[in-house]
Amino acid sequence: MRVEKGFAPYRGYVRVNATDRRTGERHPVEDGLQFFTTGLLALLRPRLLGSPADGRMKDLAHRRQTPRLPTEPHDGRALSIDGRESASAAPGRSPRERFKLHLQLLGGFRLTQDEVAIDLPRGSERLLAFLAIHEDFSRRGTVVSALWPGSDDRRRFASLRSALVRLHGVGCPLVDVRRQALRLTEDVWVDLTESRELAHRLIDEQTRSTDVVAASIATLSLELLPGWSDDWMTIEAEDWRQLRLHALESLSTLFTRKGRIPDALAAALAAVRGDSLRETARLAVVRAHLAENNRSEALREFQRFRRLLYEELRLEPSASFVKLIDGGAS
Amino acid sequence: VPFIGCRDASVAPRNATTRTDVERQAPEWSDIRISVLGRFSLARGGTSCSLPRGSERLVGLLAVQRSNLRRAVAAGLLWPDSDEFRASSSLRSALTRLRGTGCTVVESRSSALSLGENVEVDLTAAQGLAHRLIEGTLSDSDVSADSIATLSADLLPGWYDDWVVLEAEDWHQLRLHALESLSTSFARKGGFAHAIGAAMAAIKGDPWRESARQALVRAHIGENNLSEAIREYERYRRMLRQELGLNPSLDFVRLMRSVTLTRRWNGGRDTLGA
Repeated sequence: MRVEKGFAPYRGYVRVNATDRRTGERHPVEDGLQFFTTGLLALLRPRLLGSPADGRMKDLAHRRQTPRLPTEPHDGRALSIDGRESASAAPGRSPRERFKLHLQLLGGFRLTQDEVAIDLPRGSERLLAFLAIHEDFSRRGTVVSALWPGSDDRRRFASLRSALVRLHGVGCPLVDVRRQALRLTEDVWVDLTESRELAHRLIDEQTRSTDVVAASIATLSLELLPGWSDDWMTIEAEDWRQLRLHALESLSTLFTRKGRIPDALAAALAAVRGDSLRETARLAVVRAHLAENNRSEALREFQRFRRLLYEELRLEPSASFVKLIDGGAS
Repeated sequence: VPFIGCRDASVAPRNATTRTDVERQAPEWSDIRISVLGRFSLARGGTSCSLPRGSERLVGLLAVQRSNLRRAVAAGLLWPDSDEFRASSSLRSALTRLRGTGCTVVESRSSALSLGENVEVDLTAAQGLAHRLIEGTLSDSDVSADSIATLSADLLPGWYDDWVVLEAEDWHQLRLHALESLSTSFARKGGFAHAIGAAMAAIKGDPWRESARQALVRAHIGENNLSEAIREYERYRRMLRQELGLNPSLDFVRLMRSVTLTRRWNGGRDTLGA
């Protein structure tokens, strides 16, 4: 994004256009007043700050100039970040390697640039996590009421602004800020997005050659931001949990079908670890054992499940599970 | 009095040019898509156009109402706080600026405004899908993961005009019902993962909604994951109790009771397990 220099403080309003570099789209920026001041700063900067050799001041001025629209990085270091365009030039690399910025949400929050971890304040972390989970544009209003539910509007928007400013301090564009909406830029690789796609492919059995591998088990064993307990997070975490457990069960079935029983067991047991009382996960374990004709193992697994279900909930396994065991063991 | 004369004089040629504009641009309309779900966007042939705020609101209004609107009515809806003269001049400027962007989607006749006939609005397709799901007249392609995504977006969130708010509430209710029906359809076909996904999407739309929780619990029960069903039910019961001081409905309680009864521990009589 580039902010056009021409702004017109006439007729009582300020017109500023921001141009998206990749698409050439122009977005009028309605946050006139702020851009009025920052634009003024841009005009006066050479006079105020003197020689360009004064790097620190210049850097500071640049940061202040564009707090809302993360434009270009303010030093040469990160200029080459160009997301997908540069990605297509290197077809041999995995999707993950094409990006310099990696955002991990599974198993805990972690943002890295060129494999170097970036520390962020809590507010910025939460903002990034929210945007990464929602993938598409989110309205500012939606974002602030989810992230800062307790406070009044003015404080919420102040919190959002400070979270954005701190992110801008990172030096590379992370958030695409539009008139009223925000999203992550396409330069950020998010592990959740890729894992969700993997899970959907496994569930729909439209797998690629690289999906039915042992590495998928590890990916699908991770929880989404464990320990985060905001209201919006608990639903998202449960959504991901259900998705990954189903995907693990599908993965186990696919392994079983290929005759790779150890992997099938590993996948099924990963699902059991997610919820030890989950019948479909136990069923996947038992099916893997039966595919190898290990009836005693299958029976032992069933009895373990049955005992646990009795101890915890005073319930029986379902009739179809019992029938499978009766048929398989006799 | 001279003011009005000026207005009349200016209106006639403007409309004349509009009509030729319309005719010239007509062939391009076929690939114009307007999206009002999730976020407003206008795309022509796959590239999105960015509109000034006033024009965006005008296109949004026409996309949501989907009928011919008299100029005066449109101006009144869009600028309810301005007087008639100001509102209609705002409308004219919105139309002019819209034409300036090159994305001519609005057909303006002498007194009425409407969207071009071939302009696609995502809301129309989504409402069709929702009605098919609720009435049970669905085709196979309706019961797909894409439908969940379509039904997960609200109508123009963050637009607080009167004409949006009512329509948005309408669509919100429709999509939640449709998601619940979709969940049931998935469960019937044995696609429990998607059934749970659809129910979850409805819960994200309204965490308090019991029918959405019931759809989720039924999906868990459908694949015999009673522990998940009980956990979900307990979570919902606790939430209702703590925040609203309410209990789940008798229906829900009965459902849980009957399900746990059929699977009650039978002392290890009938299987070799014990």
